[in-house]
Amino acid sequence: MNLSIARSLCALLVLLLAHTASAQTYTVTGAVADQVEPLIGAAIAQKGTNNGTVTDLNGKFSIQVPAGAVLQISYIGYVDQEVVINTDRVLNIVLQEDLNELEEIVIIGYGSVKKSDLTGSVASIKAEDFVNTAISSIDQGLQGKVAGMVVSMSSGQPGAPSSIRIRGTSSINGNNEPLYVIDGVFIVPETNVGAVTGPSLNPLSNINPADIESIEVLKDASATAIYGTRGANGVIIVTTKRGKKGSTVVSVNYTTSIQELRKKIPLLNAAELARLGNEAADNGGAPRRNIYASPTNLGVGTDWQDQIFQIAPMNNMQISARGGNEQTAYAISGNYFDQEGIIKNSDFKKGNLRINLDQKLNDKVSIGTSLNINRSALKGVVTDAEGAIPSSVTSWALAFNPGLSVFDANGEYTFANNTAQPSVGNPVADINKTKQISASTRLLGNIFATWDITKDLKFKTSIGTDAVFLSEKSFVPNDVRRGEGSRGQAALANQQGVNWLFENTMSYNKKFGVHSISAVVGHTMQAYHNEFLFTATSDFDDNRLGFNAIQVGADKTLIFNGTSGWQLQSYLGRVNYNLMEKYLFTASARVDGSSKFGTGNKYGVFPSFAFAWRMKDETFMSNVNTISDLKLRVGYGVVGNEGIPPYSSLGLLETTEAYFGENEIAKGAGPASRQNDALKWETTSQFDVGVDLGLINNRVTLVADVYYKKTKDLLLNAPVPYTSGFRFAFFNVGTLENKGFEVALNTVNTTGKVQWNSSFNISFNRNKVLDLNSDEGIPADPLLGINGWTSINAGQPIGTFYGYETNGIIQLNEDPTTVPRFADYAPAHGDRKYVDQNGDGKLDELDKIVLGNANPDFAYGFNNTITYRNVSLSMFIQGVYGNEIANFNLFALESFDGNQNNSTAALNRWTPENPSNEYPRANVSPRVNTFSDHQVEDASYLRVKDITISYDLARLISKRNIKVSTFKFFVSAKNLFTLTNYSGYDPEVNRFINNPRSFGADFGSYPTTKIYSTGLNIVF
Amino acid sequence: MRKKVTSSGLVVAGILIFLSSCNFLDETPESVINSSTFYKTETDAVAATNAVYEYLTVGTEGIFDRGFGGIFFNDYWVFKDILSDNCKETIASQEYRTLDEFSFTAENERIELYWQDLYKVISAANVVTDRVPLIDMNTAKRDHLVAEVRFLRAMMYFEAVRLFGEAPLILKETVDLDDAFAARASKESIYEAIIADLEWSRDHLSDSYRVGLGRPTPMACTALMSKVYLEMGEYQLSADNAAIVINSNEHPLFNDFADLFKLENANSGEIIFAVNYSGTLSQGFKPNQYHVRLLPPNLSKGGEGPENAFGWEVPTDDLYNSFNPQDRRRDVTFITSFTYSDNSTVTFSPHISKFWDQENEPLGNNTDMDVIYLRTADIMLVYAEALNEINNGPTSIAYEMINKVRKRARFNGTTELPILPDLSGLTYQEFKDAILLERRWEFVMEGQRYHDLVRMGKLVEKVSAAKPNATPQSFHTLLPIPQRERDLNPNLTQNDPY
Repeated sequence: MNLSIARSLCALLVLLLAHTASAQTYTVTGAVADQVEPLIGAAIAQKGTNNGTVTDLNGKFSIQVPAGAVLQISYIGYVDQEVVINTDRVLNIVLQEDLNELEEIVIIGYGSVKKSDLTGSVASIKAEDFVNTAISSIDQGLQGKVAGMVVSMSSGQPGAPSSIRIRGTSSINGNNEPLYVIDGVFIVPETNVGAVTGPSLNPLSNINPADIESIEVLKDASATAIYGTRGANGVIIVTTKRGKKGSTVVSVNYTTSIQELRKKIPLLNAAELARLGNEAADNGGAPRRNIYASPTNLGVGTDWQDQIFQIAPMNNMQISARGGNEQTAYAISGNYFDQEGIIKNSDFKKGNLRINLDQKLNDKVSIGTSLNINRSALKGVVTDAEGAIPSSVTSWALAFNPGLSVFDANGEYTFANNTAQPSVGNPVADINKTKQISASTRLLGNIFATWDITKDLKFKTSIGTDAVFLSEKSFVPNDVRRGEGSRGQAALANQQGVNWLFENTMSYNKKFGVHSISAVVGHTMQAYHNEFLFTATSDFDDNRLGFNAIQVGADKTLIFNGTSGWQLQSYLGRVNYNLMEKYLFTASARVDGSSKFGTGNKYGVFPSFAFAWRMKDETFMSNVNTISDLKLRVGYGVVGNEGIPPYSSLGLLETTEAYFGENEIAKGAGPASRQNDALKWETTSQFDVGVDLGLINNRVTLVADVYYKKTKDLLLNAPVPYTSGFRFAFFNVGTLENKGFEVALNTVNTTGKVQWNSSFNISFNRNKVLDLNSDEGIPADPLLGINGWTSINAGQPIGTFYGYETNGIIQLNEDPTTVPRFADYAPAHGDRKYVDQNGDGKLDELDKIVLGNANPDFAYGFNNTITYRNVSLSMFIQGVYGNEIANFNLFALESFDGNQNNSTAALNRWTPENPSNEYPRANVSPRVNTFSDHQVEDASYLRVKDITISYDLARLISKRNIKVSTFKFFVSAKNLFTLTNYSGYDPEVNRFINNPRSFGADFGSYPTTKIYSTGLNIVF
Repeated sequence: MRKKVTSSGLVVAGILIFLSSCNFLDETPESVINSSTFYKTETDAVAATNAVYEYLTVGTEGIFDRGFGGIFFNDYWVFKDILSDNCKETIASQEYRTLDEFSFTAENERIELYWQDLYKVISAANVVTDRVPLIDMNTAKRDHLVAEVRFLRAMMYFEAVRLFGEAPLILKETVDLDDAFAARASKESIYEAIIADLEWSRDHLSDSYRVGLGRPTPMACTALMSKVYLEMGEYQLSADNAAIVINSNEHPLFNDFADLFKLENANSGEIIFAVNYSGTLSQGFKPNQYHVRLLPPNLSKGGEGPENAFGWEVPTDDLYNSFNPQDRRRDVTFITSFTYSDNSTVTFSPHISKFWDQENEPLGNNTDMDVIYLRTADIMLVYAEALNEINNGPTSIAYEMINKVRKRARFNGTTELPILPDLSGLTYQEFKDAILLERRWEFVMEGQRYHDLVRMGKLVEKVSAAKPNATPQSFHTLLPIPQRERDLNPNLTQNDPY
């Protein structure tokens, strides 16, 4: 590294000395400015030579040039100017801001094109969007930024992953997350072994957002088909910053933030709960409970939410240096991120180191590397863990009797709730004593070489790896409720997953008159291998050593390990043909082979075609001055999905254990999965039509696309008749579609002293399952024993909720015996009524109807940035509309049975005096867990996602002769304001992250937060 | 230049061809067994056979699944008594409640899981009967293993034909998934297959290899045949087989009814065949649910009384009151009070406690108790019933059989009480009724009552009398084919009028 810095210093020296050595030259001086102020650091170069300089702090420059020389003046974000030096020795250059993004280079798979030459649907996000924000991973920074891409935070647990859907959910059992390609390496999103409960580690947290140069989102099949089997869900290409020839740029960022709970759920206080409990007992014909005697004396009691939530700090710091000379370029960076959670005792810490190097060996051959080393550690509390019974600390805090205090009379933690059996534990004791840690060490990088065989023909070879070393540790001591049954339990898991990728590509670019061709062919091989070891013990006499000495647990029955892997081999090719800069044709194909499929079905062919017409460049458009750009695009392609577990096509055996008599353990091996040699690729074909429009010299640009995606041969772990010996088997069956419309609009509203830019995007997607192998739907994971609250059925979108329709409350003037009833419950006055849909006089499964679905009608983002001199203000609004959430928390919050604390909705419960038609009566033994439209809530929201004000002091400081190009101070607020009707903690929630079969549940989740930040960004 | 391009192109092409020539995409799982490399050795044959036993006991999907447990885990014995006048359900779950009240539909999840567990065992057994005979090993041992699973397969089809009537008869591994979409076979062909399995089993089970302890014996085959023939109405064959069991005296009656349910007597004496469970060996993971479901709740206090007990199935008053108060079987079958070591006593409504060896497992919960499937008293009463049918009235042997069972019930552990006198002088119908009543007292929660009521045509009458809330009807002599199966397999018809 020292060598590179030394080299760049030498290069600088050479530059400085250059003019003293030359003869017969003039000194040209001048100033470079835009319409407002001088530009510091603008580049002045004599065309065709190495002679050049940059403007000083006042925007002034001086350069020695021969007569007739051409000077090129350039500055990022401005249109280049050329000036021929004749007699004028003093130049005053005014650069025009570059509003034309068409010359931008856009990265596509295995290559790049000018934005104007794009034929597919690709969105680009630049580095600026990732500076100055309090985010730990790029997914958080992508939310609302790209039309057609919906990013959902599923949990507020620091370090937890989010889910990204590009143009809808296209697979049921396969993977639905896009493919991430980071500097050419396909990353492996596996970060969970299972020793901890709750959210796992975000696989994207290993990339420091500040290292990113650009992100390209490939949306349509003509763009993604080059990625073949992994292209069905879209592709996100991340390119990190690399060094450039020139002086070293050092950048330092520091951001500090505080986070808080967005809102509390209003709950009953101790006295109110006691009154409810007594009324519930009276109504249910049960004796009143001692714990609820004399409600008034109980007072307000403990606010259990206050006991677990806190205001939490977050700090993010990084330093990077970039530079290079003719031969060598480098970029290095370091980053440390530390976030405490808003639930006490949860946090996330990570550190990143990155080295990107490029070296020219000679005129034809270059080599380079991108290397990132990351260490992430997530300390969790138990959330998002609900199944048949609540077990998450947020559920416990909501359910716990406010009449109890955190500590009992002896100063010990109150052990458990006293209102119901089985009781829930003290959430404060649990977060303080239960430990859960997931940590990963991750190496992501590649080395590559390029060889310019001829001017037009280029060969590239690259070997990359994403190696993940994961460890999970958890300990539940014997003195909390969670550890009571097991008398304390510890689990340890380790997993090593190594993914390697070897790619060889040959590219060819050539222009022949009005024809130009750019082509690439290649071969890639990728393999993934993982090994895991899981051990758990229980029955601890001593809690002190916890997961650091699990042998203390007397019961050591659980130990298992395993290994698995997969391989992919592909051949790819693409041709771009450009005729007269007006007619653009692209054809690509990838032949992909995956080990996961049946013998004879391993290979799939994924072709695509696209055509774009640059209408603006036709002569008939040349006089239409308001239209500065117009391009029509049409594309079609077929992509695949192989996101199923390895060995899914094999008939695997499971180890069994039976017992003969009192002494003999009979181990056995029985059929666990069905062999299916016919298992093959799931394929998605997609048709896309788009238009790119620029108006008023591209001050207004609009990109609009409509698409139709059809996925067939779904890889379904589908129900099969039990007579086969299996409940489910993997096969290719069924089809589903996604169709949609998306628009991105960017405007430059004002230029000059006050610059105001806006960008807006909106996307509409409609998902529908067209057919499955049978009428038997694919049900969700049950929650609270409720099966089928959502299920995947033909004719409905994925994420459709099914349940009963409520019909108000039985009032005193009604006869409860005439109300339709469930077989197991006789309703009375004040009970909730449900609609007997089929009119058979009783309520049962047949009366369930569609109650809504978890897919938004549309999602949008709206950003405004106003800059005046050194001050910049930006406001980013983001939201979704028309989606519903199944709020399972309501079963406890509105139980009205005195068995747990309730929300203040209980104050409006039905009584003869308060004939509510919304909330039922108190009753100690109601019919439990009837899933109805009452639990399905509108989850639309509009959120001020980010407001940032920044002030750049660089100019002020520079006047004191300290060289800085940026010295930016900023304050920002995230999630400052949210407009929603959702009654839970936050509408951005998803209990079963990334599981399309159980989409849209809120139950015991870790709430998302509001964040206030301030920070500093210095570049010199 | 051109030459250089060509040669470098060749090098690259060469590398690519080399790389793609190897078997890069082959899948070789290393931590799970792939069936294509299994079923080759004697060890494999034993392992494949053993697996079938787990599916009997624990079921298909593992401990955290909704359907945890094979049929013997709980539903084999729960179903037969709540689908009868014997027991009622206290659990909130509609799935069991509707069985208790005879308001169940084809959507009932417990019925679906019962079906699933039957066919899981059948499928695993079919794998053994197809693949083990191809393994190169000692022929007698190989036949013995196949005989074991054919017995278990016969058990499953005997359940299927009695509960569902016509049912898919699958006797081969379903290599082609289409074979799983079978139509329902006639009851006759199912019974034929059951008898074929049992005869083959009886003739091939070895007496020197893997004997007993939860594995079938030739005598178990004969005993089961007597029951199967009785259901088929083949009374002479039933009596002939029962006679073999009784006359062999291999499994003499215990003197005391209470001895049947003592852990020390597992797999011995009167017990001909029991599905073995072990709470001890399974470290508490795979015991059956006798104690959890049946013992009275809320008794656990200070380390005494059954833990984790819920009392989900409780006897009807009609059942409890039908016993002579001094009948040993009432005393052993039920618990109505519990006394702690400080001599404090709680009393409660009757709960079923006969499977609780209180001395050995004071806390209940994880039990070693097996599920008894065949025992001599059952075969004696089968024998008596068959003889009554053959002769259109009881014979002396028929009286001898039932009176031996009654005699034992008179024994209170120390002495014989003057109750339940020996029967004599009964008509055909009186004797038949006596058999039904005797079986009721003898086999509470032993998987018999529903079948007994159906066989004797008394289901509607008896259940209506015992359970005012229940609405049994004549079609309830069969359960509905699970709706899930009919949705998936259009070849399945439904039992009318479900």
